[in-house]
Amino acid sequence: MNTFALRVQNLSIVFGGLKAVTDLDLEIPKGSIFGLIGPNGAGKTTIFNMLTGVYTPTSGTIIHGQSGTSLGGLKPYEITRTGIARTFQNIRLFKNLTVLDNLLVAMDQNPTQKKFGLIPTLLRSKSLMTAEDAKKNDALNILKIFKLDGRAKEISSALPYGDQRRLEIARAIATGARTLLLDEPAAGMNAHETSSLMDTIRDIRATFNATVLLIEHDMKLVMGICERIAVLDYGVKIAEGIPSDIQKNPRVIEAYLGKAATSEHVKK
Amino acid sequence: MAPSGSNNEQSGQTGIMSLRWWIVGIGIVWLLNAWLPELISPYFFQIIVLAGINVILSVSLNLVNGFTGQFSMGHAGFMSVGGYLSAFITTSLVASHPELMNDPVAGVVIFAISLIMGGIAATAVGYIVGLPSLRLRGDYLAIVTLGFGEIIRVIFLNTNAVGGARGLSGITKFTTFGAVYTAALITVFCIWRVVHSAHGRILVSIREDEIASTAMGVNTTEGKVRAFAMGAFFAGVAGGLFAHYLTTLNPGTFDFNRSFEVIIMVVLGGMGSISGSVVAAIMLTVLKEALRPLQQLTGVDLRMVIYSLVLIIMMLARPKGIFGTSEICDLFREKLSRRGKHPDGGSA
Ligand SMILES: Nc1ncnc2c1ncn2[C@@H]1O[C@H](COP(=O)(O)OP(=O)(O)OP(=O)(O)O)[C@@H](O)[C@H]1O
Ligand SMILES: [Mg+2]
Repeated sequence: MNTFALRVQNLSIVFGGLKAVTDLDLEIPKGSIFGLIGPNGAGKTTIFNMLTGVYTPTSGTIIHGQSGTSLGGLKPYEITRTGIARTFQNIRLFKNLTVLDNLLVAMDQNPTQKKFGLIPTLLRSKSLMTAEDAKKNDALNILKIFKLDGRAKEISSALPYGDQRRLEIARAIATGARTLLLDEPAAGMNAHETSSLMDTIRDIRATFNATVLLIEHDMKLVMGICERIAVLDYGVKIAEGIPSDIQKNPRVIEAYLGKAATSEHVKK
Repeated sequence: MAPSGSNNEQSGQTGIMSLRWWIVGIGIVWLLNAWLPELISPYFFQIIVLAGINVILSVSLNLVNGFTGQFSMGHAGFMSVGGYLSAFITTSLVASHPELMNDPVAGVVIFAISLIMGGIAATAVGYIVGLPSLRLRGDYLAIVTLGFGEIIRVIFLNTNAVGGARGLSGITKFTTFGAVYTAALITVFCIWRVVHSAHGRILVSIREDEIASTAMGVNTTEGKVRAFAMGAFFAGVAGGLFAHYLTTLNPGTFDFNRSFEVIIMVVLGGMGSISGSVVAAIMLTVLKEALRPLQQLTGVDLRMVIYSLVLIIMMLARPKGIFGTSEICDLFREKLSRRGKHPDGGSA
């Protein structure tokens, strides 16, 4: 068993003439909460898109710690089934489905889940109904962690914004994945919601033995829960280390905090 | 409210969707079958038969266009595959073994088998058409299915085994009220159960957000192709029923207007509402027949004009169709609870 959840080597991607990510090396320790930060347009979401197979890297390799195999050439749904799931910067819930159904879609794809063919589906066989009930139970248990179990029957688009973001995380867990990629999970949340989100992220790491790689602009959250942080600027990793070192790193301050934000972000 | 999800029905073995009620339904259909033709005029009988066939078509197209969110315009093409094949099977058998015709049971069995074969052939063609075009995101399916409908017409036009431009004639009139409504009940039942299952959740998730669906581990291409092939199966069966009702087929029988009619039924009833498709199919069949005298009077075919008007009015008044993505029973339940009564009849 590897000690890393994900290992990225020499990863690059070019869009037309734009080098969005250049020669990225990254190792996400298993069980860690790892922060990926950088100014707007630095290439953070692009990295997630490569990790999840949405974009094909121009060069480089991505190795999944759990299986030790390369993720190169796998389709997005295959990567999810190997145990890596994500959330989206612009929330992408199944809007007209209930909160519960959002989770069930993900849960159906969990490789450990028993699959049923057309005939048992049409006849509603006993074992199918039992499996459905068990699935619903599991889904409600995940929702409980996010305090969303009371809203299981509501249409997901009716949830408040913060809850929608949390539901996306719940849905990622429901796939069975234990490496979670969260793209700006606190975006649009108020301070109270953000701090409760921090607790939830710690919670799920403990409960599910998960590894969390997160992109975030909220420095309080990043510095508060990440054990390690990598900083990206113009597609290049300019620093990596523990939060206190990152905060002191002059290159980071110049590239990222240095702009308008030095005082504003550090104050927080 | 939600179009999918087994949580609409807590337990699958009770309520109106239980298998038992549907078997009773089919029993009633066959009881009616014996004397319905004598009870009502041939004109109404025809409307009832055509309505049943249209129910099969609209409900099965809704699986693709409504629930899965893929825009197919090729339903008539699949009808023609099923129609031609099943008619070819029965006419060849009747020609080679005329004695079979004296045995009504043999006739029904042959007809049933030919319908299923027609459905299977349509499914196979569905895979061939669906696999390349459903891989891609976007509107490719609409274009490909539009082309497919034309290609299949030209193929039949040039195939002498099925009569070429003359078409097939002398098809035995196997299609009865019982056959149509048995098939319609089976179609609605199957599609209802698929939609309210894990498979259905997958389809609806593709419609809602394909990128998110893949990110959750859904093989979206597989899901789309399966829905498309299943829709094609029932279209093929409907084609067989239609062929054995008309007793003649020619390549023009299943032109684009047929596909268009079915699309209108789906849009009118509500994309993602099975009961909506049923109601719209019946309404439009009646409307079409009611307009026939008008056509004879004026000498122009006003149907397409009126369809379009109906669609425009619909888009303005109820853009999501009659039922939206809800089912008729959901609407009743809502009405009841709004009146303060318990939906299960708890209050006095
Ligand atoms: N599909 C694409 N085609 C062309 N350019 C792209 C594509 N995706 C991303 N880019 C470009 O790559 C760069 C990095 O974008 P990315 O979305 O990864 O930034 P980010 O770090 O997530 O920023 P933000 O914090 O604003 O979300 C940007 O310049 C963006 O315009
Ligand atoms: Mg981003």
